[in-house]
Amino acid sequence: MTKEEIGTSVSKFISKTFLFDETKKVGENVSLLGTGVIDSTGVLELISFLESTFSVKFADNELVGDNFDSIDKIQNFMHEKLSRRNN
Amino acid sequence: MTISHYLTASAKKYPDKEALICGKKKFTYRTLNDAMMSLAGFLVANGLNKEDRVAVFLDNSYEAVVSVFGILQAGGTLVLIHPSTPAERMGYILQNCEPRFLVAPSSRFSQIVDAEKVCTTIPTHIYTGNDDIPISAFRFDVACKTKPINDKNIVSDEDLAVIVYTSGSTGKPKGVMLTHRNFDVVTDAVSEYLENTSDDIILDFLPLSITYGLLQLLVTFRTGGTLVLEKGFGFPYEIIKRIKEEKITGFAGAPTVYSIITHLNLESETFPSLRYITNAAAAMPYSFIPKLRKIFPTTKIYLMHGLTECLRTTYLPPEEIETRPTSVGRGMKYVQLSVEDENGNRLTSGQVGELCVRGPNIMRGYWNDPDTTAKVLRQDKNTGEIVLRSGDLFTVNDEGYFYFVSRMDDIIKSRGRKVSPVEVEDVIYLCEEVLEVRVIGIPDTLLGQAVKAEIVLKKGATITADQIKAECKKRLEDFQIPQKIEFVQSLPKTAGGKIKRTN
Repeated sequence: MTKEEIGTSVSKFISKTFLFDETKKVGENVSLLGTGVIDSTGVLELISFLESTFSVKFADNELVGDNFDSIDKIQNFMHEKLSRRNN
Repeated sequence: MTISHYLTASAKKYPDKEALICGKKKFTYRTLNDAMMSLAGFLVANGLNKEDRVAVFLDNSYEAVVSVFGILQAGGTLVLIHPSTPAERMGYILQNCEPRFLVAPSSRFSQIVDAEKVCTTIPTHIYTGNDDIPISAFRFDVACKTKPINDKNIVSDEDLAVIVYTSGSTGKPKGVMLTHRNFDVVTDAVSEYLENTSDDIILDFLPLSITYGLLQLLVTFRTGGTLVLEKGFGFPYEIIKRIKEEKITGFAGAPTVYSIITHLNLESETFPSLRYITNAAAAMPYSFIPKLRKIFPTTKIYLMHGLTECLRTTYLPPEEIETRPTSVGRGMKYVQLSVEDENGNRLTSGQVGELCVRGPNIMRGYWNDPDTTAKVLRQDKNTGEIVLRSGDLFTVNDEGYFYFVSRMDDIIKSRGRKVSPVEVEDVIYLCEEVLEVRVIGIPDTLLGQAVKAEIVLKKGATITADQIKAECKKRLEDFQIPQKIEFVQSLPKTAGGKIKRTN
């Protein structure tokens, strides 16, 4: 799966779940937490979506803002994680 | 003591001590004091008069902290607006309090323009961040390098310090007016019972736009401690890491936060630095306490009660939590509490009545709303003293311990925030397809209460739950949007045809 495909899938989930409208887009570099797009319970929903969609498990130390606080960060982190798994 | 004096006094005493940590950036008391004085100088030089409102639409950040103190030092009144507030609600707030200035991130420019469409007067904009800004606006970093305000203290304890907008049962946000004195007595009492000192390193992940979050900042700066400011509790393991890295001695949370903490895998972790944790905003479920004890065996747990209109009322001494886990404790210093019936008669032990508050922590009233103020602030029929009717049902026992029963009206407390059912219903009713709607709170272990909308559709009409949520998203804050939507055939009504809140 390419980085862009991951980004599209995450972006769609965020629009549907947190903006309740798939046609609306959150900027790729926008801080999801800082701008209130998601809150602490929203993060749990996001993590569970990523785990089930991409069949991965996250270690506790991976669950940090550097990996998940924007669509850009999520797609980079997920791409790297999936590449590691496939190699 | 006025609020900005906390920073001035600590800057004199501990100029080179770390006062604020935001991510990797650290700021000393001297740096913050200089920025505060310059921002205050800028505001006054640009026409700010005493008690003029200044709206702050920022997330938890260095800029938000400097704004809080700079505005107050200049004699202004702070209006803190949560960063997730949608344009329509923000527009209502701006139109209601008519701020002279608005401090906001340049990246939110288009939302601000949207919000201001309903405003009769447009505030002067001060922007943080690097995006392009209109020529009429100012940059925050430039304002913070202006000639400082002179030292002459123009602010008094009785001046209006903060207006906090909170959901009301009438549906529209109400502006709670709090003075410097309100905060001063509360921060004094709170720092005394939490035993705060300059050695404390306090973690604050609650938004500064709510009083519980703001009080963390004020108590820390009053006592010369260090505040570690986070943008939220979104990444719990990151917060746990911060507690260990920064050797955090105390933090404040709500049941939603503690619910998440008790579900984390923390068996191999220890928290030797953590002196205390506090709970407010909603009652802590009893079942959480033994779980938290296991995670934080050497940490004191404080259960407290408060409401925006008087900031804080009670705390339970932590050594009593095992014997009285369902109590929020006794009235704190300066505050007199009683449980009264609707006519102001004090009720005796065990009788359920409304918690009434007397003392210097009581708000001045609701901004521009004398009618609602008169309903909530009444005169004691014997002493003439001002009494705040809290709207919370309580019992008190013979020893003076208070027990929360429920809200008197139907305000839903979800994610530690207040949701007015009427406000949500008003938005859902905007959908043409909806015939009747009732919004209620239902128990939820994570959220405290979840918001549920029960909807009767017009005959033959179709609309999905997601479409209704999308409509809500346009006009409401996230915490107000129903988590559950159920389509029903009918709703129970009173004889007068009013939809009943309970079945």
